[in-house]
Amino acid sequence: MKRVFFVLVLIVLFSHFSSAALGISPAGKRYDFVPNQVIKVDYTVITDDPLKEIEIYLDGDLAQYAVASKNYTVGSTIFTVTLTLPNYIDKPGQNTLAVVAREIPSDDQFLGTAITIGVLLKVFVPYPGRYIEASLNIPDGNIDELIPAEVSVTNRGVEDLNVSIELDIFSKDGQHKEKIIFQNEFIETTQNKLFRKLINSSNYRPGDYYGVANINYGNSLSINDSFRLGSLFVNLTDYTREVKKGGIQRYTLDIQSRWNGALREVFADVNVSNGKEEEIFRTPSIELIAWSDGELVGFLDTTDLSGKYDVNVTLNYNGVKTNFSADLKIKDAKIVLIIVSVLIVILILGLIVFIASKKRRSKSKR
Amino acid sequence: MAYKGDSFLMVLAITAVVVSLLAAGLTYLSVAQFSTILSGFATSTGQLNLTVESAAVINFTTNFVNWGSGRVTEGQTSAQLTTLETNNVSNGNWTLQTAGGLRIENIGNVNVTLNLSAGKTPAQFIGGTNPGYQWNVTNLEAGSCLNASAGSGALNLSVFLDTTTTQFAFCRIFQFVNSNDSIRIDINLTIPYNSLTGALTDTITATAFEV
Repeated sequence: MKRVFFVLVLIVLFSHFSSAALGISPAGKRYDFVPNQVIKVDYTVITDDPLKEIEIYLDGDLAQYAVASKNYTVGSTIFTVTLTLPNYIDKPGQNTLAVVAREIPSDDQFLGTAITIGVLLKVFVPYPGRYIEASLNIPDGNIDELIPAEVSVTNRGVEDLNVSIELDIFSKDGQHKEKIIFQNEFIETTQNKLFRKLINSSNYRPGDYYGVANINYGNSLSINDSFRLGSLFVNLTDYTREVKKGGIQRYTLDIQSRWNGALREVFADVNVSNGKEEEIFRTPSIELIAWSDGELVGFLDTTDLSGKYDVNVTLNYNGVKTNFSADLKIKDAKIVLIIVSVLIVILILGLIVFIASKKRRSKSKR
Repeated sequence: MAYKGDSFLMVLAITAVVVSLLAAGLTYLSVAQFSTILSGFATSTGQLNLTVESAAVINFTTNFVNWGSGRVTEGQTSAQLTTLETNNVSNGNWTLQTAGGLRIENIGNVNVTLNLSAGKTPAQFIGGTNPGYQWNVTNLEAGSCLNASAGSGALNLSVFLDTTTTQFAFCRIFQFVNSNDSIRIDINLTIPYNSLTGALTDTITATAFEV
């Protein structure tokens, strides 16, 4: 029993020394600047070693306005950071307060390690005048669907703004398709508004498009986003063009979904024929996620086939069948072998003749 | 006699089936009625609330390197000690306890930056003529250490560099994604014949900040 206890102690000691973790939670705290606001956040120092000595300190642009309730701990702890924002901050944009935990190193190893970890508390200070951050999002869709077009506008300036937005839709080659006008909105400083309209895609053709949102907020800003309109169609992009004769050969079909959604049980019926001989096989089915490429793999019995063939591929998906024409050459491995052998023999003969003639010349010189 | 027994069994079986069907019917009716009268089923909707807090946490899964005690082979000007799996000691009689370098994993749920700094210069740590103290950071899991644009270009990885006592930025993004969150730090020491003696120690500090 004593021995077991001793081994356990050794294991605990070993595990204690072989790894060391240090962390702080929460991360990613974000605030908008409000003069004289008091922000209190409880932080947890996370460590796997209850005897670890840890220093806690604050750093960054806002450190001068903040205090931590603890500056030292042994093992895990919870402490509070109180940030008292001033009446005014010079630097517009992101101002940060770094909350840092630093492991106090011990010199007990040849080469030891220590961790310093920090999380950021970010305070956004509005820019002078008019300033917005905006994004346009038009997701991919399918023909005849209503596609949501969303413009997110955040007022990052000190002024309140009246915002109007016009969205122009263009085809990939630059042809103007439609103009969508959003309702005007009033956005106060630091506030965000989401503008949303639906694009009726029934008058569009499948393909690639892009939208340009012109945002007027006293100044102007243009942003764009591209999107695709799909149709229920799977294209055959490539296929096996040549196989060796003899037994069962692998036959692949590269396919591409043009549908903005998953297609389950996509498979192909393949008919290989030259008018006299015919071989038919079906590939196992695969699933295609939206707009993805896939490979269908089938196996062709080439025992009775040789030469050039026409191939009829029927892709089956979602109750739809699409036909493609292809071609296939079945090469007789024996013929290839004979050709290669003849070429090698010719090459060797040529080499012999070349060496012999060289020797003859050198003899005649002597 | 056998005929009578068979008839009796047949009657018994049919009775059992009839009784079972009746019982099943009664049970069905009872449940249907019961569900309309009294039930634990509530028609109001419920709501689940939870908050997942973000945390920046890194873990030295291997947090020390030890070559034990040793000396430079007589007649040699220096010995070389590395944390590599093979040929990790040359021109000396040290023995590396665990090969594979120091290892760090991002076990939090936010990406962080990763800088390293040594506690001592080669002269302070090893001393003597031309001491060497280098580190080599490599991805233990592909794509763990990324540049500012989340790519892999212009990173100081997979090469031995001289250590610095000031912070040296290795990863602008040290990912937390489970299959891309581990890196390895190999060490290369050059111990000259006239180095400091006794227990030589240093600490490598990993500094990580939320991105």
